[in-house]
Amino acid sequence: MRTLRAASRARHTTLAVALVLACQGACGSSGGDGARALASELGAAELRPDPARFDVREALIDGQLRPAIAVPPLSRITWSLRLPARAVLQAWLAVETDCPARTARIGFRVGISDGRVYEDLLVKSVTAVEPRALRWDPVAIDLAGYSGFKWSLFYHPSRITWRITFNTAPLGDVSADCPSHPIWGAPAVTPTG
Amino acid sequence: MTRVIHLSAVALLLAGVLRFYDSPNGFTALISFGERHSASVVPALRDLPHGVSRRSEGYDGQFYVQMALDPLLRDPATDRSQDDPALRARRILFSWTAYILGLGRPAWILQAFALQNVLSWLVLGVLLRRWFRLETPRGIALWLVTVFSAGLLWSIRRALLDGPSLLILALAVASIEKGRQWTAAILCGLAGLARETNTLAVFALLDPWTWTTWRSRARAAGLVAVALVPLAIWFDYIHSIYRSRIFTSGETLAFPFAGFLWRADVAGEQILAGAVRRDLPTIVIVLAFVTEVGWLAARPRWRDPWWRIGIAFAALLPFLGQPLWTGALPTVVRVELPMLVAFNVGLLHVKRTDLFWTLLACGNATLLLEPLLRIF
Repeated sequence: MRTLRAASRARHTTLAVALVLACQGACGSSGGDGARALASELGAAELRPDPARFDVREALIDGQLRPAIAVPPLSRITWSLRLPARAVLQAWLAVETDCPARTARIGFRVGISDGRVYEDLLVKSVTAVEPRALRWDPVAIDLAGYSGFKWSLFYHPSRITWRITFNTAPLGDVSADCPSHPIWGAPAVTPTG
Repeated sequence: MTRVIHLSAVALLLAGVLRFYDSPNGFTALISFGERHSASVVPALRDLPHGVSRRSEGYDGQFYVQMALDPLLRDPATDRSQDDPALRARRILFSWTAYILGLGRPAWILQAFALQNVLSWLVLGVLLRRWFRLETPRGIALWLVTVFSAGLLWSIRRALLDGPSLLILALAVASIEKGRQWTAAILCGLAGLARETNTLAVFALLDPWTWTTWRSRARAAGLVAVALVPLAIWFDYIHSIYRSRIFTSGETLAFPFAGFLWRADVAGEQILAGAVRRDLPTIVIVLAFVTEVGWLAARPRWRDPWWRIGIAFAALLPFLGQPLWTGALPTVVRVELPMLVAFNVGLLHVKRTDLFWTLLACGNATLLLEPLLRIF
């Protein structure tokens, strides 16, 4: 009798662990088919130039608080990841500047590569005129071409580990004593549909 | 007499080709490697003896031969060796044939690539006698202007794709005329792998007069499918590597007449500046194309597969962009080689002697651009 009860308890424990794991898989930040918050995976990303100059923090802009990555003006972040079906990359862009009297323009660039061919997904410039950014600039990039099932003999994007690159670069005149601070707000890869 | 003419032509061509042979490099001078691309060649080529033109960009053959060293394009180094990897990758066939002829050995592949144009010229010379009989002055003239056409010789001189492509199209037409439609469809499929424009040869397969029953229509659809499937599969493969980039045209396709008008504009400026002789090529090219297109359009022969190919290439001509119209011997002359052959085959139907020789002279005027002795 005791053996049966112990076996039943073990089955329930196994089921509970399986449910927790399944939930983590479905709802967690790094699950195969769930939304992936890229800010929380910054530790696994390649950072250029100096990783110490990248800062993950909460950024309150225009009344909206978002987890964000503050990066140097000239920077590159590369995440290696597999994409869920019908993926969309979402982020909010902002720039702060140390000099309120002068505008600062930052070019934001997002690209994707399979290690052989690089393609630009986004090229956008954001201008800062105040020490505090006035608003978030939302971007949504359709990654459907790089994820999910394709009618192809050879192209199977779900099997590819993609390299998604976030670049920033100052545009126009750059003053060393007046740096600007680009911010990637809540970058995430989300499955749709 | 027939044999003498044919052998003399072969001897003339081979003598010209032999001038490009040198002991360490073999026939690689025919490929036209440019020094400005030397730093980016694939490692397999770097160690092989090959002739390089100093302070030169080289020519397109240097890119295709490096694809022949990596025929499935698996090595990213192959991309770095190309000027436009996705565009070049679409034209893989003669990289494969060089790989096969060279038995997979890099040094042999290089020589095979350099010489496969010569080989195809020799076969084409024999095949063209199917249409141009060397027993009559007309047949001799048509055969000579075709085998020594500027585009064909330029293809040999620079180890390009146009000469061997023309051979496959001629084989396809010969197959259609013999009633071997499925063989022709396979040949058209192969031709599409050599150069995208060769897919126009599919029109040779389509004879609307035969579409009398559902069965014949289904058969025509099957022929088209067979002709397009190889390119579709290859596009699928290279799409897995280059993704959206494979659809780049590199400005080779443009709005109708944009390339032609650009060339005419440049020529007009030079003529107005008094330098008529400097832009003689444009006048010659326009004369030849107007004659060819005009004759093909004026005398439709719907049941003749050569005419159907010719008129399809005539329709392509206005869409060829500016890069194809540049240079003393612009690429359009090579791309439109099938139209030239179709035109020359059409001249067989001209009854009036004076009209025949006038059309022959005007339609083949591009011979003046690169006479045999200047090319070789």
